[in-house]
Amino acid sequence: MVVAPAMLSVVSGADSGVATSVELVSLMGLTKQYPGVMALNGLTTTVAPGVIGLIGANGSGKSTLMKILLGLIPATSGSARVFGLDPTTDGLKIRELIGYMPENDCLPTDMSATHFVMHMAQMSGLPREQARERTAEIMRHVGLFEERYRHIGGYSTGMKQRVKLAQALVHDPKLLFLDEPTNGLDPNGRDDMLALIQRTGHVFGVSVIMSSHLLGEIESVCDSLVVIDGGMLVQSGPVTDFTGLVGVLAVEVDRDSEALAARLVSMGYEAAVEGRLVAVEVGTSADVDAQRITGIVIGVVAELGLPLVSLTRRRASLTDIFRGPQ
Amino acid sequence: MTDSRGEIYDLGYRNYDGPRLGRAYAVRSLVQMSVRNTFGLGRGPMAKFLAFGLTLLAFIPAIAQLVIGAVVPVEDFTFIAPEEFFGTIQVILVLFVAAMASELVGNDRKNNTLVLYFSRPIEKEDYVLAKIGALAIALLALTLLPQVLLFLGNWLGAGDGTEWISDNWTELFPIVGAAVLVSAQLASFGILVAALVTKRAFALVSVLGGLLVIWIATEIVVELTDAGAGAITVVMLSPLHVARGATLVLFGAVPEVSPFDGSGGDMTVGALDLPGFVWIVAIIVHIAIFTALAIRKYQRSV
Repeated sequence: MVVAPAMLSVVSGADSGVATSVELVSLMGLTKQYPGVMALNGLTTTVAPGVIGLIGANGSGKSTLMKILLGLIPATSGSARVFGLDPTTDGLKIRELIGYMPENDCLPTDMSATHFVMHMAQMSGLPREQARERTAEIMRHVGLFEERYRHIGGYSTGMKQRVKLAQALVHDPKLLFLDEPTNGLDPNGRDDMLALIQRTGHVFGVSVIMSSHLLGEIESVCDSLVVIDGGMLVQSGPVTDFTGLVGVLAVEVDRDSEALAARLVSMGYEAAVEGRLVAVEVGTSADVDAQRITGIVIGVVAELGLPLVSLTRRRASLTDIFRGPQ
Repeated sequence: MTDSRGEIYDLGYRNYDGPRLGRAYAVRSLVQMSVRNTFGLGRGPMAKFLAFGLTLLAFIPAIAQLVIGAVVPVEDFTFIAPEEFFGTIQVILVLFVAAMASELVGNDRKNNTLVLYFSRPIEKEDYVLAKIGALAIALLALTLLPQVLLFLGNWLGAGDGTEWISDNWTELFPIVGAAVLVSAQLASFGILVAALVTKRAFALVSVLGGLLVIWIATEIVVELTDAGAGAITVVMLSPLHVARGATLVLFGAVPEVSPFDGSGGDMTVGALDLPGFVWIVAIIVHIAIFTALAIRKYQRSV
């Protein structure tokens, strides 16, 4: 869904007191060379506060970028700023203001969630009592209040993801780095997680940089997107710049998909056959437009007498973006 | 994205404007947590059993001394002299270090929790120092407390308590000094090995084998070379020998050879006939090198 302009203005309002500068993160020719692999290649962009999606295929450099911004690993060349601070020299200050949720498992198994999250709050500098209070609040916020005394080892993947989010949020950071937060979650768990992230970012004024290899999955909660591929910047900007490019209607029919595609093309629509699917470009993802085209497509399917299996609005896949104008 | 669910979450979050105590506090918190972990607090019964069992074993010589001292009517009975204490409980110390070092750093690495620590306002060396500090503090329960108990017992058992304490209070300096140095040395060695050897079971065996095998090898080399010039180098590389030498020096016992000590450790140490300060310098150099290498290992991780 497109983020409504009203929502955007709420976001900037909520963020006005957070960062002194408009820039949350800025990268200038950021490069990271591992032996034999160029993880990041001259990345230059600027990101304003809000909920930001960092999109790229696996191995495109998303995790490397987060680690550089946290000051955990040095860049080979170029520079980065977080809140105007340099991670190589002000790592401590930056890490005090940041919450980080890594992509992979990172939780102890033989400890209760509440015990661990409280420990992490203290590791971020919160005094014992405040750490205890914040932990109880945050466990409620992520929906684990009832189960908080259980050992993490017995948690489901979804619950573990929430503990990971809780430990990243417990010290009330100004910026959250979430590395593939929906990884391994079922569709319900994914929706819950995204709703939680959206709330955290839009209601509580915590900026979020969230990575994903699936644009469609996270675009609905993002204000802006940064797309990288092979360590290079593909595109960066408000989410509205992207959705215009990539709306696709996937029509699944039992037979004669070629005929359907040919008919639609003859009517002046962009349509391509992908097996039993016909992908029809919606042109812009504005709902009115999509609904109008959907109506027309259904009409054509009926006219040709084809058995319609499914009709889905597809979010842009990365390849769509890479093919699009840059 | 149901709203009802969202409302449940909303009960919790508030912004935090309170104090953020920073790096030193974070490191203290990590030390505290790690010491607790060492003794199995907040963990399963097996972890507690191992830690408290070994600690109890370390107390046995001191308790035996006090019990026998109370029963046997001999003036100034000495079952274990203070300088013999570390030699007596050496194997227990090694077992404790082997078990706990891999526990302290192995779990964080295995569970990948390390990256969460490093995303906190601490530096990587802080993590290493906190872990070494925590293990050293835990070791004090084995190295310092029994000696203090022995000291107090001897004081209470003395005919004239006032006279005894005025004669013996300076003993406390070597008791504390030796316990701190040995604890720091074994802790830094243990954390270093546990940091280098990734598999936990192997780390445990490596610390255990490392200390004891080096000990035995050193004994053999010294024996074969008749404590010649080459032997000094070998002994200086053996953590347990350096610890032995340093404690003996602190208690003023080198190069005396004690008839009570069956391990022969101080015979080796005594046979080298080095000036006392060399042992003290050596143990401090050990602590510095082990710590530096462990930090170096962690600088390269994540």
